[in-house]
Amino acid sequence: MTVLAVEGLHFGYTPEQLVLRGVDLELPAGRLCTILGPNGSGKTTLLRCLLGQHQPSAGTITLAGRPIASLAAKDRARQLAYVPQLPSSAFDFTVRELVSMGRYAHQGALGLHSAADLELVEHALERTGTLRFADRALGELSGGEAQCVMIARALAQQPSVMLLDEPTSHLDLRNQLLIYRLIRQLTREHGMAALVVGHDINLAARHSDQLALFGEGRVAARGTPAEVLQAPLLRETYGVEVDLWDVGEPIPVVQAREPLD
Amino acid sequence: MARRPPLTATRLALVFVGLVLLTVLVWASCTMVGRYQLTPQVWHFRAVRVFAAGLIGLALASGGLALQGLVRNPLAEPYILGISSGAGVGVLLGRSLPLDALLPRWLTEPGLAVVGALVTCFVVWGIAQRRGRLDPFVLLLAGVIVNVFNGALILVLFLFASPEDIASFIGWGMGQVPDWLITQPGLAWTATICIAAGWLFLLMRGSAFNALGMGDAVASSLGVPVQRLRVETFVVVSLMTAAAVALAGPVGFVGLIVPHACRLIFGPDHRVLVVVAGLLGAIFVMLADTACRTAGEWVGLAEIPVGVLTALAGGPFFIVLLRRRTRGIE
Repeated sequence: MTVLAVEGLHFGYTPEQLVLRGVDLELPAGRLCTILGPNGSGKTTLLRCLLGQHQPSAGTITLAGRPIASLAAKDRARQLAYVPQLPSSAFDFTVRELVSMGRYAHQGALGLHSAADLELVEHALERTGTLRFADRALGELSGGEAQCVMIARALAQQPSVMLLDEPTSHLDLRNQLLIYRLIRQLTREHGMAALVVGHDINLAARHSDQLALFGEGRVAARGTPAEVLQAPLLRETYGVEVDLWDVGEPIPVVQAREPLD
Repeated sequence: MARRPPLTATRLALVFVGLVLLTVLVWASCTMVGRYQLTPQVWHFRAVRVFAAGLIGLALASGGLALQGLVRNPLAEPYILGISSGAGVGVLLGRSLPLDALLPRWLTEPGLAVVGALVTCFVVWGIAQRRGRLDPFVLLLAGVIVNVFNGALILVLFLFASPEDIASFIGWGMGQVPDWLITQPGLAWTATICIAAGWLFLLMRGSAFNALGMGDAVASSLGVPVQRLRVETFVVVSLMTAAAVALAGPVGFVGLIVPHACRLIFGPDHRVLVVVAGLLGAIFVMLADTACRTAGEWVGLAEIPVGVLTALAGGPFFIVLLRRRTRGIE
């Protein structure tokens, strides 16, 4: 079942310069899709349109069958969660308190938690491995731990779609793997779809169900990693000569050789 | 960090009721303090004055807290951002212009104060915008510059005042809780309603301010209507500040000292802090004004405006916070 559908999406910061030029994308429930593409190809802009920060000039975004533009902020938040590239908190909240903020859209006017909210928060902490440092502040954690906290906070929202903006870009090899595995497990267990914006092709190919390759403001190719990792396609999209190495797995390893003139 | 228990309705109600009782106790005690014999008339004058001091403290402390949460900058507060001086320009315009024949004073002064505060607020906000994002340091700088500009406008208005008005203008300009408020029930009621309504609004936004601490994008994804919240809160804080300035002139740094002290004691949760900072702000200004009033009475000099005391305490406090923040950024 498709939970998030994007059709013919156009957006530009000025009317003359379009960043998105007819993006089409479908995200099924329980699947992890990574958007790849060169810098400036419109990946983050698409994420901002999905979050309601930019209003597209044309096209539609449907979330669980309803146009996203017709949803109130809290209704959208009950369906769509977001994990930023750099976790931050301006105030000295503990991890548990930050994760509990994921329940914002489910609370009343005074923002108080119900017993069910607190139970969900504990579940999110446990499921993401953040329970052991739940009473520490975000600033005391490593990059990988902090990113897990943001995922726990997004999980506490009980969304049907989780958007993640380059969640592994500042992490070491081990944490990159752990984060991708965690996202994949959560999509399986909770039936939630995850849309990740990333840059590491090999990491994304090994852990995603789908890849969407962005080029010049539209989806140049979409499918399973094996379908998308084609040398001519990557060459054209990134402007580099690439080698695909067979390492005895269904998915080859991509190596950039040299930039095209 | 020690585990903080989750905030429940019972805990919030206990904090609220406890602090309201403490505030009433401090108010009653402050009305008893003073050199002059406590006749019913003297008590009545003092009761209204101490109440006004409490209102001013509540408005400035909770307004400062809301601004700090809203712009994620611990140095933001109505006085530093120039909102108080903008309201001051409005109040002095109301006093200087011959509007008495058209509208009552309780309407013109707070009305023009709101206009002055709002104009300043949106000018400072507009200057601090960088590609749709709020630059916290440009915000402070813009506040300082607009403060100087508003100060110059106030001096220009002084030039047109009569000699007898100038003395009261100077006291007001230093932040002085008035004795005469009992003779202006319209102004007292207007200010009370504005500040109480504003505080009620802020009480309902505590969890949204908490979420904003994680950045606009995350807050928006949690369901916080970020832009609407910013506009509404700036308007509400301007309204509360304007009411406070219409009563006592610009009383500085209350919105800085009280929220920071409250954060140290009660933690960072704005759902609690709006209650705590508001009521402890009321207590702080009531005590400070009583100290200023009685000091003047006992030494036989003119009383010290409460704004002088808060500025003497708040100036160094601001520098300490600024140094700590810039060190953190380095």
